Amino acid sequence: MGQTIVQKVLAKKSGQSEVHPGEILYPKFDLSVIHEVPVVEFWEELKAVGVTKLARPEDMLVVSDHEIPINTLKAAERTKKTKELMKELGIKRFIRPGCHGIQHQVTLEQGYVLPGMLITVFDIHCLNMGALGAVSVPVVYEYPTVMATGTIWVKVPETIRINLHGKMQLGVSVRDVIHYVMKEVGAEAADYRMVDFSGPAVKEMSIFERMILCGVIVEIGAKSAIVEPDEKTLAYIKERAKFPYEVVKNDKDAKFERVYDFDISNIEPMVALPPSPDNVAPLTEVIGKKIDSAYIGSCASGTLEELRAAAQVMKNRIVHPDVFCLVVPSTQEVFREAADEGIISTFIKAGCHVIGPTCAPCFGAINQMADGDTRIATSTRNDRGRMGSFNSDIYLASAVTVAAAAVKGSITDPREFLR
Amino acid sequence: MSWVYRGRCHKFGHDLHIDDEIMPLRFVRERETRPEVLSQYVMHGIDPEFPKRVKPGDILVAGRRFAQGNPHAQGFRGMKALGLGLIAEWMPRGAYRNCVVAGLPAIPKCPGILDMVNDGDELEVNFETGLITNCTTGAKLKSEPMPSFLREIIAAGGSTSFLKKQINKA
Repeated sequence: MGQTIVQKVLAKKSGQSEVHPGEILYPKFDLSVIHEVPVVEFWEELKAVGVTKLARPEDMLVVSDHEIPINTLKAAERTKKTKELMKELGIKRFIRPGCHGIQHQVTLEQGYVLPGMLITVFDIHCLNMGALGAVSVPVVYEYPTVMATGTIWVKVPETIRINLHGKMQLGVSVRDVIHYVMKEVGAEAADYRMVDFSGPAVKEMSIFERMILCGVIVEIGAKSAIVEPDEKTLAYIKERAKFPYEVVKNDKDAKFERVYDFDISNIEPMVALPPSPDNVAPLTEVIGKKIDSAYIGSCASGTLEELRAAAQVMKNRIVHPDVFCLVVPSTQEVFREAADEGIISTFIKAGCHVIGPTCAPCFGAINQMADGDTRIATSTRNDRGRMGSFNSDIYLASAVTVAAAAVKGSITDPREFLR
Repeated sequence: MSWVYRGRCHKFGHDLHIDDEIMPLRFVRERETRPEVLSQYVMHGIDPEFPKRVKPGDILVAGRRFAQGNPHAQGFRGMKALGLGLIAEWMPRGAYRNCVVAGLPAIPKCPGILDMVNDGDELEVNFETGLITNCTTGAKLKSEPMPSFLREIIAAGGSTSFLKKQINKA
C-alpha cells in the first residue's frame, strides 16, 4: 500500500519501513523551534523535576518574535535571562532581534525548513512550514518534554487531500480561498488530519501563497498541512538551504482518507466573523460595518506579496480619519524589500503606522482594542478578547480587503479600489 | 489513582471556546500556572459560580468541539485542580492533548452523551474502560477510553509529572 508524505517522513524518523494512521510513534525530530518567551519558564519547570541537561540542544532553534520590541521591564529581564540560559544550555541556533521575523516565515526564508524534514514547534501556526514540503508538528505545552527527551508522542494522522482548480478572480487572494475551504471542509473532518494541498491552482501559487494556505488551516484543527515539493520549492530553497535534505513525495498509490475538489474561480472575497476563524461568510454579508482599526501582518500575511497587494489599494489614497491602520512586515528581509520597492513609502503616505516584524499585535500584546472596538485584520485568530477587551470584535480577511476597509472606514468590497 | 469517578453531572452545550469562555485568556498572557488560581476561573465566561458548585468526582459533560481555539492548557489544569472528570461529544486535537498535559481524566469522543444525561444527574464514569453509567436514570453507554499509554501520563498527573517519573526511573 502506498504511503503519504507524512507517513514516509514519520516512518523514516522512527526507523521503520512504513507506518499507518493511528500508530503512536516517538520520532527523532530534525529540528525543534521555540520562540523566546517560554524558554526560561520551561527550563525552570524541567529543573524542578530533575532534568539537568537538554537532550539535543544542537537541534533547537530559538526565534525572537513574540516579545519584540520589548515593552515591559519583565520582558527585558526575561530576554536577558533567555540569552544567558541559551549559552548555559548550549543552544547555539538563535534568530536574534534585528535579523528576525515571525518564526513561521523567517525559518523558511533563512533555510531552516526544508523538504522531508520533521520539525516540532512550540507554536501552533507552524503549519506554514508545509509550504516547503516539511512536516511540522505543533506541541505547545509538551515542548518541555521535547527539550528533555528529544521526542514526544505523535499519532500518525490520516491525510486528506484538497485539490484546488481554476484561477482566482481579481481582488481575491489565497486568504479568501482558504477561508472558503475551511468553511466547506469544517472542523470535524479536518481534526487531527494532515492536509495535503494539491491540484493545478496550488501548482500556480507562489511559496508565500502556499504558506498562507497551509498555515491558516490549523484553525480548523488540522494536525499539519503540506504541499508536495515541486520546481518552485526547489528554486526557493536553492540559495537558502542550511542543511542537506531529501525531497519526499506521496507515493502514486498513497491512500488519502478523503479527497476534496474545489474550483476557486468563483470564490468571492470572504471574511471570518467573530469569534472564530472558521466562522466564515462572504464579505458581502458585512459590507458597511464600521471599523476603528485595521491590522495587516502576522504569520498568516505580512509577506511581500500581501504588502504589495495592500499597497495597490493604498496608493494615492489615505486611511480613513477614524481608523488606525497598523502594518507589520513579517520578516526583516520582507521589510527591506518592501522599503526598496517603495511599498513602505506608500503605506506611510497613506497614514499607516508601520513597525518592524513582531507577533505581538496578533495576540494582543501591543495595540490592544478598547471596549466596543471593531477591527479588521489579516491575523490568525479572532477569539473574544484576543486583542484586548472581551467586548471587541475582530474580523479576519485578506490584505486587500483590510486595506480597502482602512481607507473606507468600514468593511467594503476591495474590488472597487482595483478596477 | 482511581479511574472511577462518581459525582454530579454538569452539562454544557456545543462549541465552547477555551479562551475566555472556559478560562480567561489573560492567564495565558500572564503565564499563570498555579492550580489554586486557575481552578477558581473554570468556565468563567459562561458561569462564574461554576467552581463553587462543583465537588471532586463531579463530571463536566460537554458537546461537540469542546474547548475549540488556540490550544491553551490553563482551563484543563483548572478542571484537574477541581478534581473533575471530563466527557465531550467531541473535542479537537489540541484540547485532547491538553487533557493529557494537565493530567485530566477524559473521554474525548463520546457521541450521544448529551442525550443521555441531564444537568444534576448522578454519573459513574470509568475512564479506564469507557463505561458511563447514569445512576439517576439507569442508562449506560460504552465509550472509547483514551489509549493506555496516554492514561499512563494522566495517572502520573500530567506530562511534567510523567517526565519526572521517567527521569527518576532512568
